[in-house]
Amino acid sequence: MTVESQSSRAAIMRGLIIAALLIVASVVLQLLSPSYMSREIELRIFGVLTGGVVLVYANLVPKTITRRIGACGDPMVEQSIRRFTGWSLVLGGVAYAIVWMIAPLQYATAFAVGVLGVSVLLVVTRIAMVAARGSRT
Amino acid sequence: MGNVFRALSDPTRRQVLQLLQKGPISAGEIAEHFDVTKSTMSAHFAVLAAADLVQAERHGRTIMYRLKMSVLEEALLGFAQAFGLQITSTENEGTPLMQED
Repeated sequence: MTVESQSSRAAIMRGLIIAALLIVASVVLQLLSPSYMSREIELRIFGVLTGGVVLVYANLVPKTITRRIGACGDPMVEQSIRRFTGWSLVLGGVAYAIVWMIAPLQYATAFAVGVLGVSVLLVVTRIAMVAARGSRT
Repeated sequence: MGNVFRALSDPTRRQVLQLLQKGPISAGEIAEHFDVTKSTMSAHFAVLAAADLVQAERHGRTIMYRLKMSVLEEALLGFAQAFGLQITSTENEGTPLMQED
């Protein structure tokens, strides 16, 4: 088995484990609410968990080096995009979790999606700028 | 994670990682920035590769090194640089580190 297929298997396993954990967490929270836990706490815990998942995945973005992407462009630009994407989404994930921890519940969804949306928008803008610069040259 | 802390504990290796943050560089170009022997430098590269912080790619006769750090590892690097984390004793600095494990 090659190193690449091993890392693909590991990534799939990690994804499955995280998905299973999220499903289990949502079932447990659903069972606990409203008898043992208020609806507010349930929503906040699930929001923090979702932010955590974004953080875990975004953390690994700069570490993922694929031959395919590395071969199709300038490696220096590719690395800077990966680092920018990783940092932007990690900070977005942290902000998403913090918003769910402290924001008033009626605004939490809007604020959390807003901060994560901004980080995704920054990444898309950065990639678009690099692509536009590349097509001019 | 122990490998990562060990790799980040040395100032030379931290400087190598900072050079690689600008983009992939050849082993020779990195070595030009440091006043150390070739064997010491390759030992540093070995420690960084063992910690999965860099990836070496052979292009003909040249070995290119690419940064392979997660966001958390980069944050640790920044922290180590800012607070001067240095676990390695000065006696070990000039000797190849490959045999340390």
